[in-house]
Amino acid sequence: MTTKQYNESVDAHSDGLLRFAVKSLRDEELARDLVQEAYLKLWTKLETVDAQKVKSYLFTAVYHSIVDHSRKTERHRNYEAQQTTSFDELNTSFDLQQHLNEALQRLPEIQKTVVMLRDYEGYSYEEIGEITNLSEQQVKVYIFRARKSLKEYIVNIENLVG
Amino acid sequence: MINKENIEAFLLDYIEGNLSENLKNELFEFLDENPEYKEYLDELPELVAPEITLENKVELKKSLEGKPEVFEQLQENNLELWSVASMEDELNPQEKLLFDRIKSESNSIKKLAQQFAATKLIPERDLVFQQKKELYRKPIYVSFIRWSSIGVAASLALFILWQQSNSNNQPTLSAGKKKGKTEISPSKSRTKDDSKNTINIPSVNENEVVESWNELAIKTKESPIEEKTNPLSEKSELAIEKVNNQDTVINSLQSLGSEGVELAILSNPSLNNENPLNAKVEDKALTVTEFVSGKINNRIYGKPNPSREEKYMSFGDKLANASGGRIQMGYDARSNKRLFCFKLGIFSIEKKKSVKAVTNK
Repeated sequence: MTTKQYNESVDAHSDGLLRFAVKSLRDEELARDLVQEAYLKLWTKLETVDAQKVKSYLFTAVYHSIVDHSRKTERHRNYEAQQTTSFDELNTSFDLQQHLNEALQRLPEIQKTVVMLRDYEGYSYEEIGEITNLSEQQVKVYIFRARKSLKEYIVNIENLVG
Repeated sequence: MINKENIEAFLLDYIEGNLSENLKNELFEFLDENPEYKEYLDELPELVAPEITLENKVELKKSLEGKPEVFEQLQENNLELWSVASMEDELNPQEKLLFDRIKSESNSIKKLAQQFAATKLIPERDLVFQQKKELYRKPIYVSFIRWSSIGVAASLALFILWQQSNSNNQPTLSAGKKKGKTEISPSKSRTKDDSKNTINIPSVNENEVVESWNELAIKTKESPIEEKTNPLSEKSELAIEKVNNQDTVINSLQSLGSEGVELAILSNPSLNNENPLNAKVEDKALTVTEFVSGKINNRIYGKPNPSREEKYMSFGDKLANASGGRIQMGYDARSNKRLFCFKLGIFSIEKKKSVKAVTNK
């Protein structure tokens, strides 16, 4: 991979990486750090990284940093535990994307990750599997569970808001 | 050939249907001749398999596309699966037609599909990485002039060594000065700039060889007024007196590892044309809160002042750029803190290519 390709990857993927990290961590500053860290890692491995796989490399690096950080700070989210959250806190107006984001944050980390990689970045099941070190079938299962949870959350709020 | 010794095996094969027509005929001929074995056929127990069946085995089957076969059978209990498959564009044309038809016939299924379709996340395009320029890298060119200058300097050093061994004269060449570097210089010849408490390669005794850091020099930054009274300054001064090799330089750096130390990292002048670290670099000097345990895997780690992080990030990129990645700013997820590190291993390798000069007081 050349320096030119490296710089092109900054233009092409840094925004997506930031969105992915922000949504995962809910900490924009930390997310920026992790994105910079991923590019620093890429820079040091420039000669060994295939330009065709740079996006996957960067997302894998950010994903692993997110996992490390989550483990460190014990910020794992447990959806079932969150289900007990009172709906009183929620807005009475129905903004689908806003509530979808709220629902997203209540998903277990792995479900959140796979569905974000799927929807934000349009990755195939196979590619998501490579990034998260899961089999294609496992990715499908997590995406299905994530969608089901998101749907149930939205429906509950729809019913609540009326 | 069937005989009385193997007749049981043939009988068993017959019952299990494993005998060919020829062997069956041979078996029947043998039984006709030996009717006492006919009763064996009646006595062999007949095992009946219990009626246990695996439910939903269709879900285990795979279609050619690798999808569960269940998609081919739309049922009430897998509507959610179909809905997700539909929004994920996993249905083939026939399945899509079928699902569309069923949706048009049932409002509840249509609503279910719409609810799942609504779970599609939309990226927030306004959330962008604004500091892209800080991530860009410039290729680091090793110029002919640089290497040729090193070659000349090395030749000169060898010549001086040779001359010294022959004539026992005492040359007064300073490696740093010869390279035109003010940051690496004998302590005896410290200039006004050195009042900023430069970590110097000092003057050493006769015949002692000093390998200069002609790639990068690191100096602490303090005001001249503070220098006289600041214990930190005295500490570094002591360290300077002892410095005669890279390890000692590292040790002296570590000895400065207390709060408030500012490090200005100066690049090799020969890189200046490409170097984003310009004269103003000292304005962006790192304030180091502490050095972390010094030398780990040939790196020295430090923690910059967290209150000036934004500054360090851009500075860190410039440093990495100018030093070819040998000095790195980073984020340590384990400690949840920023760090910078000097890759000392690379320094030491390149150091061997650099100037060797004999100096004396």
